[in-house]
Amino acid sequence: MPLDSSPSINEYKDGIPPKYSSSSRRKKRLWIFIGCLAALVLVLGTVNFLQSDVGAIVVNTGTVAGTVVDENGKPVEAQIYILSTSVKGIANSEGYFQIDSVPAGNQAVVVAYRGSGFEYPANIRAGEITDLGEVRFVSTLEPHE
Amino acid sequence: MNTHIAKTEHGQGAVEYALIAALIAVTVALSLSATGTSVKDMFCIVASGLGAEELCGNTVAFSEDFSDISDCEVAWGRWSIKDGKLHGSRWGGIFNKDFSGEDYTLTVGSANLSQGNGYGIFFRAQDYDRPEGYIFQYDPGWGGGAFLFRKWVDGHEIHPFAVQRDSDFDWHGEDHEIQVKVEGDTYTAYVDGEEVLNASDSTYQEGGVGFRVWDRTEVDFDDLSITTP
Repeated sequence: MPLDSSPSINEYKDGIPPKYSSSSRRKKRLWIFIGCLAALVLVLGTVNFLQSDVGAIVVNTGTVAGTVVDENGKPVEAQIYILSTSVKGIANSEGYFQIDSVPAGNQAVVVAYRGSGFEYPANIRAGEITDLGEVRFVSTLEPHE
Repeated sequence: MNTHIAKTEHGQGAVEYALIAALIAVTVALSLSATGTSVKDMFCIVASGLGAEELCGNTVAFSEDFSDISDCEVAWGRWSIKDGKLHGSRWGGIFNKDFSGEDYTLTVGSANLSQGNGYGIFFRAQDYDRPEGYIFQYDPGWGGGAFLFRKWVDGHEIHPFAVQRDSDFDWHGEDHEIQVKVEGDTYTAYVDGEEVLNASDSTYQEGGVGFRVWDRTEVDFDDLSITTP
C-alpha cells in the first residue's frame, strides 16, 4: 500500500474502529439489491418465455386466427369462443381475430354474432398460428342446407 | 379326549363364518365386475324377478307442478301461471332455480303448443343471464318441422348438432309428454314415450333445466319432474 493511501493516525484517536463495519453493511445491501434484481429478471424472463413461441410449445398452447365475413362477404365483428375453455376473443372491424393461449389439439371454435353462432373444428398446434382463413358467418336461427 | 375335540369344534364360530361370507361376497362382486355387470344391476334383475321393481326405480330428484312461479328465474320475456300450468308467450326464457345435476331424465308431463314456431327445453344449463348448456327444440318452424338439439354458448344459440325432421307430426294443439334423458355424453329425446332424437356431445357436463319460447309461440307446460339414476 502506498504511504499516501495509509490511514492517518487521527482515525485511530478513539481507538481501533470496528473492522469492516460500514463495508460489510454496504455489501449486504448490495447483495439484497442483486437478489431483488435477479428475482425480477427471473419473473420477467418467465413471462417473456411463456409469451414466446417456444414457451407456447412448452405449455402446449397455440394461436387461432381467421376472418369472419357475412353471407355477402362483409366483415363481421363476431365473438369467438373456444368451447370447453375460458379462452375467447372478438373480431375487429375488419372481421379479423387472433386468439392466443388456445390449448393445443382438437378444439371447437364458436363464431357467434347477434345471438346465434356456428361451431368450427380446429386442430391447434402448439407454438403455431392455426389460420382458419375466411369464416363465413350465417345466422343459425333458420335451417341452412 | 372326545369331549376335548367336541369343545374345540364347537369353538369355531362367527369369525370363520363371517370370513367365508365376506369372501363369497367379494368373489361374487368381482365376478360380476369382470363380466361388466354392476352389483346394482344384478340386484335390480333379482328384485324385478321377485316383483319388487320399485326398489330399483330412479330417484325423483325434483318435481314441479307449476302451482306458482316462485321456483323459477325468468331470464327474459313474459311467463305466467295459467290454470295451474306454466304459460310461455311469444319470446322468453325461464329456468328452474332449485335443481342442477349431471345425469338425469327430465319429464314434462304435458306440453301443449297452441300456436307459433316452437319451444325448447334446456338441460345441463348454467349462467341463466347468458345461458350455456343444451336445449331440445320442439320446432315446427324448422324447415317444415323438426326435433333438434342445440348448444348455447354465452347466450348464443349454436347451429344444431342433431336434427330429425318430421313434417307429418301434429305439432299444434295436442298435449304431449316430453322426456329428455341425459346420460354421460348421450342425449335422447322422447315424445309421448317414442324416441325422436338421439345425439352425443361432451361440451357440458352438468347444469339445470329451463324452457324457451320464440316466434309468437303460445305454449303451456305442466308437471315437470326430474329423476336421477
